[in-house]
Order: sequence, then C-alpha cells, then structure tokens
Amino acid sequence: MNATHLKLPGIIDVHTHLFQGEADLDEAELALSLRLADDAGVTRQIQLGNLRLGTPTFARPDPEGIRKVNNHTLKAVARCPDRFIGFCYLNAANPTAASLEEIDRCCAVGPLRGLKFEFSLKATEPLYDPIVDRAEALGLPILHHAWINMEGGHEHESTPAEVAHLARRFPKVTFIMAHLGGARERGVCDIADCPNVLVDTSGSYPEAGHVEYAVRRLGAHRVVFGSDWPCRDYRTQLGRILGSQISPEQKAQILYHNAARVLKLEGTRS
Amino acid sequence: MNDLTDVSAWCGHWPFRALRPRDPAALKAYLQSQGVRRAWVSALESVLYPDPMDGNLPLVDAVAGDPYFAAIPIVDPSLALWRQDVEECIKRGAAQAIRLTPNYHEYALTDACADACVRFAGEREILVYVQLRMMDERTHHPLMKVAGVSVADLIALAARYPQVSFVVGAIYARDLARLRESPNLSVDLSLVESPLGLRQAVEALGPEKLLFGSQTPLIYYEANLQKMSTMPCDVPPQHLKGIRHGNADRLLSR
Repeated sequence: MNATHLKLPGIIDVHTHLFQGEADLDEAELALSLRLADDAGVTRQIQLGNLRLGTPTFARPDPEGIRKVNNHTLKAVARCPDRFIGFCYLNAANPTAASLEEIDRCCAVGPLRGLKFEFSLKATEPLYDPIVDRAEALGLPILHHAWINMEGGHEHESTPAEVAHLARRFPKVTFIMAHLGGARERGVCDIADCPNVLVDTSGSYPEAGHVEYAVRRLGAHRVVFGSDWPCRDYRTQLGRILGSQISPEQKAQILYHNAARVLKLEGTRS
Repeated sequence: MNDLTDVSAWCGHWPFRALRPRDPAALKAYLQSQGVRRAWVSALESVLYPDPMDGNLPLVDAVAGDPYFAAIPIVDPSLALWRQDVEECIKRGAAQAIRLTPNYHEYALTDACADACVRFAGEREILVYVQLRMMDERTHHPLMKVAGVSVADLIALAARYPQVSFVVGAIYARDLARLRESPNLSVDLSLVESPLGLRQAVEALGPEKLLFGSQTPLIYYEANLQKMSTMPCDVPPQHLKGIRHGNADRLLSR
C-alpha cells in the first residue's frame, strides 16, 4: 500500500535528522536520505539536525555545540530548500542570552522555522519561559522530545505530562510533542487538554493501536507523521499511518495537512 | 501479490492492549487480504498463562486441517509435563515446530531444561522458534517489565545443537550481525528496522536466513509489509522472493 490513493500534495515527515558529517554535510547520508524519502513518497521533512555535534549523548550541549548542530542544519536547508524545513536546536539549560541569540541568528535572520528541544532540561523548568516567549513573538512552532521509558530513559528527559506543563504556560505557541510510540496512551491523555499540542507518530516500533488511540483522544487534526529517520525507517514508520484503522481523510490530515498548517505552507487548509 | 509467508502471526488476547484480529478465522481473513498465503501462528495466551497448553490446545484444534496455518505451540520446558505436552500437540497436528518464550517463563537458555527441550526437538526433527521478546522493553507495562532473551545464550545453544533448525523471533537490527557464525539460525524480521534495514540484514546474514514476519496483531502489519517494498538496487528480486516466502517454506513444509 502507498499513499497515492489519498491524493495528497505530498507527505510531510516532521521528525528527521542527519547524523553524519561535521563541518560539512555527509554527501552519502544526504543522498540516502533523499533517495529513501523519495521512495516512500515523503516530499518535505523537518530537519532537526545532527544532534551528535552537540554532545555524543545529545544531552546538555553548550552554546558552541548548539551552534555546530544548527550550522549543520543551515547547510542542509541551503542545499535542499524545497525539501528540508530546518528547526533550531536549543538547550534551555544554557544561558538564556545565548539561546535567544541563537534563535535570532537561525530563525529571525536565518531560514529555520521552528525550535527543537531534546532532553537537556525538564520542560517544567522556568528557564524555558524567555525562550518560548521569543518563539511566540516570532510565531515559531516547537518540537519537544518526550518519552515514558520503562527502562529509565535519559536524565533530564521530559515526559508528556511535563511537555503539557510547558504548553499550558504558552497556550498561543504550537507544540509538536515527539514520539507517540514513546508517549503511548498515558502520554496522549497527558496532552489531551492542551489544544496547542500535536503529537508526532515516531517512537519505538510501530505498535498497533497507537494511531487510532491518538485520533480518538485528540482528534486527527492533532496527529502528525514523524519517522525519526535515520534512527528509524521512513517506510516502516509510514506503515503506522497507512495500516491504521482510520479514515482516508484522517490519514491525509496526519500525513500532510496538519503539518502544512503548523508550518504555514502555501495552499494550507485552514 | 499474494506470496507472503508470515512467520510471526499471533492469535488470541494480549492483556496490555485491545488488539484485533483475535480468532483464527478473523486473522486468516485479515492476512489473506494483505497478501499472506500462509501464516505460522502461536497463541498469545500461552505467553502468560501458567500452563501454555491452555492457550495452545484451543488454537491447535481450531486450525487443525487448515493448511493456511502452521500452529506453533509454546512450550515451557520448566514445567514437568512439557514432553507430554509436545507429544499431545504433535498428535493433534502441530508437529513441525515449537516456540520458546524463556523470559516470560522464567528460565534461561543456559538452563538444563532448555537443553533437554532442544535435544528432544532435534530427535523429533522439530524446528525450535525462540522468541526474544514480545515488544520493545521500553514500552512494557510498568508492573511487568520483562528483559529480552540473551542473544549470546541463544548463539551458544544453537552451537550445541547444530542439527536443530532455529528461528529467532523479534530480534533487533543491532543484534543481527552477532548471528553471522550460526548457520542453524534464521530470523524473523518483524522488529528489524533501520534505514536500508533489509539490505543490511542480507549483508549481515545472507538472504537465505531471513524470514518475513509481521507480529500481527501486536505491530501494524503494514509497517512490516513496507519493508518488503525495498528497491531492487538494495535487495535483488531473487533474494526478496526467498525472504517473502521461500526461506520459510523450506523450513516448514506443508
């Protein structure tokens, strides 16, 4: 099965990375990403960067590490402006002035169109507030990692409940909570009363039932397709949506229209 | 293209999520609609019931005489009556394979009971299917976290019984290369996921040891079907044919 029967303008994958390359893009990885995305029908992808350039574990990169990640993302966006929509990686535990400066460099002046937080600081921490204030002023969506990890997870990793806490503090900002497969039913319930939070479908293996559950509890308008490539595979993760027991219209919302709305792409459905 | 043999389908009720299909008739109708021409099936209840035979027998009896299914009873060799149970399943038509779920039945593949069971399977020329896990350990129920089966122990067990054919269920992509020197191990691909996952699996183990598996109904069937849509430049069609059904059909003839 593919998505052609849904008659979409394309497929938007809101959660992708490039994990090779340092000062320069890794040409082989870039080519592979584009080839496999083409094969899967993915036409646009949010590029969240090579987080390894910040720290090997992704945790707590300093301002210099953050700039390395974002420089890499800026290069990817410059190389493939019609394909990649870059998000600016931040660590809210860094000095606030450095984060605000990076937002200005990458988003206000540069072409990046959203913010990305991984697991450097719990989303409940007030250090987020001036950064999200700036995101609100610039109209930037925020993609925030979340997991409920039964093996313990990462230090400073936010749960869905903690992302919901942040989202309630900033009801005018649109958040994409990453990893439905990590949030699962409890995480979906945690964000249910936050209409400004969508969930991306990435996270773990494609356990059956998650997509239907998210659609039932949140509405299809709050679910977006994410693969987490290259940690995961475009096609396999796409199978979650294509194989779910929801309507073709709901699949179309998840695969394209919701992300297009958040990203304010041309021709977006209101 | 109705040419798939699914080596990891399940029937029954899984207590952690409301999943469908559950009964053999519904499972068959679903899998046939998805291009599966034959399915190896075990009972989900047998993973958790104190005596797996309480899940095995209803399934074995329900699919007896239907060549669409190969019923694979789950055996707990730590139970005193396991030999009798295997004999009973063979008598009722499930004669080709047994499945072990060591981490749910609280024994290790280094335990004497595992050796006894595999030795018995070898004598009866029965395939041994070792299920490493049911699901990503990170997503288990908070009150029931079950570690995966040791891949090192599995490799050692397979080496002790080179005449026995094993299938490894629900292995992760990162562990595939560890099986390279184990000629009697084939793998279910249901939890093998990475970019170019199928190509990397072929490179790691060769095409003859790879088996299409869906983990239906635990995993979205479509997700595993998508893996079979790999491009010819990555996995040649003749290799893909073996993965789709040929390799599995060689292991378990009808």
